[in-house]
Amino acid sequence: MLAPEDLDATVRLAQSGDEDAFRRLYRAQQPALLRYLRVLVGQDAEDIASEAWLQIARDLGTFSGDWDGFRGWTATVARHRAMDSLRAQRRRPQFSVSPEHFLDLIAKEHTADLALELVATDAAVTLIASLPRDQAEAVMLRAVLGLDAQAAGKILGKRAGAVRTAAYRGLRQLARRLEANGATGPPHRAGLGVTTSPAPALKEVR
Amino acid sequence: MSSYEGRDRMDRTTAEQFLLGDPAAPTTGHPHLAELLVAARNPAHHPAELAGEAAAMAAFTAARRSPPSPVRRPSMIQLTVAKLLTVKVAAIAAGVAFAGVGGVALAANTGVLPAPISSHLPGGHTSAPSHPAPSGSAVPRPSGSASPLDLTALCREFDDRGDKAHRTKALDEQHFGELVRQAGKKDHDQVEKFCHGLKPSGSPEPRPSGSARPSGSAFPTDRPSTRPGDKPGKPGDNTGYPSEKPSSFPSGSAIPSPRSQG
Repeated sequence: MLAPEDLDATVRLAQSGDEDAFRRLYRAQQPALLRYLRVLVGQDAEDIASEAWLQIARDLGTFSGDWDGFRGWTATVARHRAMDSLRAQRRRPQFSVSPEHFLDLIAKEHTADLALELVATDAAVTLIASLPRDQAEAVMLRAVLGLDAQAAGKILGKRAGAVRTAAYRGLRQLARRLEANGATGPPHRAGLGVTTSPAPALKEVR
Repeated sequence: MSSYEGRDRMDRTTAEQFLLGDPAAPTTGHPHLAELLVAARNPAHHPAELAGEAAAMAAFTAARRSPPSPVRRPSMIQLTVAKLLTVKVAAIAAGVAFAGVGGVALAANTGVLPAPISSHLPGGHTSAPSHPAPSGSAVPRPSGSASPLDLTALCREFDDRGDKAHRTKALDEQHFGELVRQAGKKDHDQVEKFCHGLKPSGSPEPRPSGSARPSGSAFPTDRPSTRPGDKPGKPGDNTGYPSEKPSSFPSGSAIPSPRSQG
C-alpha cells in the first residue's frame, strides 16, 4: 500500500495525465468503493462502480484536492450513481446474512487462507449492509472508506454529528447481533454458506 | 467466549476508536466487532474487484485526449444562437472599456438581469434571443477565471450545494466568481434565476447503445448519464447531496466490457 502522502502526489500525477498514476488510484480506491456500493445496491455494485469510474476519469480534471479529497469525491460520485439506480428500482435490496456465518468464517481464519479471508470480508460487508441504510452508510464511509465524520457528512448531506450518531448506532447494533451469537460460541460447521441465506451482496467469489 | 456483560456499554469514544480501526479499542463486551471491521476494511482484495480496471483506464485515456471540461455537446440550435451572440456581444464588448461589463451585458441582453443594470450599458438595446446558449466560444471572457462554457457546469455545481444556506455561502468562493459575475449580483436568487435561464433546451445528448468505446471524442462516448446534477462538485466543498433528483437510470449494459484496452 502506498502511504497517503504518496497518494497525494499520485492524485496530482493522474490529473496531469499520468496513466500509471490513475491506475494506482483505481487500485487503491476501487475495493473500498465497491464494498460501499454493495451496501447500497447489492448485486449491482460492480456495474455502478464502472459507471462511477467512467465519470471519475472524465471529470478528474475538474477535481481539486488531495488523496483524502479524492476518496471523498469518488465516494460522492459512486453514491450519486447508486442513488440513481435505487430510484429506478424503487428500493434497496434486502440483505440477509446470519452473524453465525461471519463468526464461523472468523473462527476458521487462522488457516490464513486468503480466499477464506475474502469470504469473511464479504460476510462482514453484508452484515453491515443489513443495518438501516443511514447506519450502514455511516459505518462504511467511516470505517471502510476511511473518511472522517465531516467528509462523510458532506457525502450524505448531513451534519458530522448526525453521521457520528448513525455510525455509533450501527456499531452498537452490530455488536449486539454478534455477541448474541458469540455468547453461545460460533458454530463450527463444515461447509461454507450453510448458515447463510443467499444474500444479494454476497457475491460468489470467482 | 469472553464476557459480554458490558455489551451495551459502548460509548461514543469507543465507537470512534472502532471506526478509526484503533487497536486500542476495548473489546470487552464486544469481542467480535473489531474482527468484523477488520474484515470489512481488509486491504487484500479479490482480483474480481478490479475487473473494471481496463474500462476505467480506457475512459481515462479518452478523457486525456479531449478538453477537460465535461460540458455536454451543444445542440445545433445552441450553436446557432451562440453564433448570433458572438456578433452582438463582440460589438458590445468593443465599445466597453471595462471588460467585466461584457458578461453582464450578455446577461442583461438576454433578459436575465433586471432592467436597471442594462441601462448602464452601451448598446443595451440590442435584441438578443431570449434563451442564452451555454455553449460555444461566443461569450467574451471577462477575466479568464472560467470559460463561459463552464457556466452550465458551474450552475450544476451550485445546484449541488444543497440547501439555500449552503448555496448562498458557496457564492463567496472564488470558484463561483464567474457565475456571480455573469449573473450580475452575488445573490442566491439572482444566480438561481440566471442558472434557470441557462438550462439547455435540448435533450441530453443521445447515447450510443452497446459497448461503445471511448474513441478520442469529447468524452467516453457512453457517458453514464447527462442528467442535471451529474457533475460532481469539488469534493472538499460538495455539501449536501441532492438525493431527490429525478432521473432515469441507464441500464448496466452500456458499460464497456472490461476488455483489455488502453
